[in-house]
Formats: sequence, structure tokens, C-alpha cells
Amino acid sequence: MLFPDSFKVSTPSDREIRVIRDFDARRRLVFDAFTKPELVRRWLLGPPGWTMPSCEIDLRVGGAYRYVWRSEQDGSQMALGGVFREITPVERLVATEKFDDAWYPGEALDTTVFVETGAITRTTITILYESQEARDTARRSGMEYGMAAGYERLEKLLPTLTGEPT
Amino acid sequence: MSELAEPFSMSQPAVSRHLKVLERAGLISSGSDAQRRPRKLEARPLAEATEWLEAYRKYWEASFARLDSLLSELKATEKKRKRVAPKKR
Repeated sequence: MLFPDSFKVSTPSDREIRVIRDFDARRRLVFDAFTKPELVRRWLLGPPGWTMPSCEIDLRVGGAYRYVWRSEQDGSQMALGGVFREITPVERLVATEKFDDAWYPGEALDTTVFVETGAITRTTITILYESQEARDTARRSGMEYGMAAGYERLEKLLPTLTGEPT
Repeated sequence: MSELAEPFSMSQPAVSRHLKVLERAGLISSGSDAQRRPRKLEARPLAEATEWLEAYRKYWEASFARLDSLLSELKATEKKRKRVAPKKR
């Protein structure tokens, strides 16, 4: 079952971007999908045509994580990493984030909160940038990034993912 | 100014403050002729902001749709495992 109606993107302050989405699963599973490398690699793929050849997550306070994406078309790479600041299993994650060749100044701080109601898990991701300028620069490039992700290609991609064994 | 304030139940100074904020944000500009200062809507930054948000939404929507599929697969696997697990006692 899909819950696209719950999906919201907002800018709660000058320096933040917030993404909210409900998932039809217990938060234990959603938390796993956000923190186990073999699961993250299944969905956080970047735009169509990109893959995630490497995903490392050292899930402890002070532990590092690093995601690497690669364009199948031209082989270009993009990497994002950071350090966990706070971990409350299945409930809350706080981590720094910075792209390797960051096009905006400073690190950002990600706070991800999982709230379970019945069998539904509401996931709220808040990204706090160092300045409004950093957020707006990240936003602008996010636009180009997102533009590549057309619905048409997504629809082609989805059937190949459902029911496929790991 | 009075023309702009007319449709709102707001004092003229309040409307003036709102206009100043919009102008500082680059969303309107003011011209001037003898008696009036007509405001012009600067549509481009607004369009850019909306476009960005739309593209950002699409990116996350695509990722979350994959996550939906993954989660239903994980749930199915768990159920199967429970069914297959040998009963104790």
C-alpha cells in the first residue's frame, strides 16, 4: 500500500528543509530501512540512471556513514557522508551530512524522527543548513538533481524492484 | 498603495510593511510616476522556488515509492519466516 498523500516538503525556517512521509510498516522496519546498508542501497538510489555502489554505516554515536552514487551513463560519482551525533534506536537519528564536493558551505545536520501510530510510521526528516545561503544553494542544485528524476522512468523502475529477492 | 490595500481588511501601514518585505525578497519591485508607485510582481524568483520544490518533491517521492516496495517486501519476508519457524514445545 502506498501513502503518497501524507508526503510533505516544507521550509520551517530560513535554514531548514523538512520532509514528512507515512509508511505502512512498523517503525522497527522503517528504522532498519534507514540504517542497514543492504536495505538503504535498495531505495536511496539517486535519480534514475544512478546506482549506489557503496553504502557504509557505522551505527553508533561518533560512527561515520558514507554513501556513494554513480551515474551509469557517464560514470561520474557523487558521495555524501557524515557522523552520527545521536541514536535512539527505532525513534530518532541525528547525523551531520556533507557532500564530498559540496557546492554549499558547511555541514548540514539531519534529524530523522520515526513516530509509530498503529501500524503506520510517520517519518520526519529535517535538514538544518549552516546558513540560509547554504540551504538555498543546496536547494537550487537539488532542483537540477530532481529534474533528472522523471516520473516516467520511475514507473519503469518500480516493477523491477517489487518482489525481487535481496 | 490604497489600491493594493483595498481588498484586505488591513491598515495601510500594515500593507506597506508587507510590501517592503516582498520587495526586499525580490518578489516585487516598485516603479514611480508622479503620484503613484505602482508595484510589479517579479514572477521569476517565485517560479524558481516553486520549480525547485516540485523537483525536490519528485526526487523524494521516487525514493519513498521504492522504500514502500521494500517495506512491503520486508513485511512479507517476516510473515513467511514466522510461518516457517519451527514451533517449540
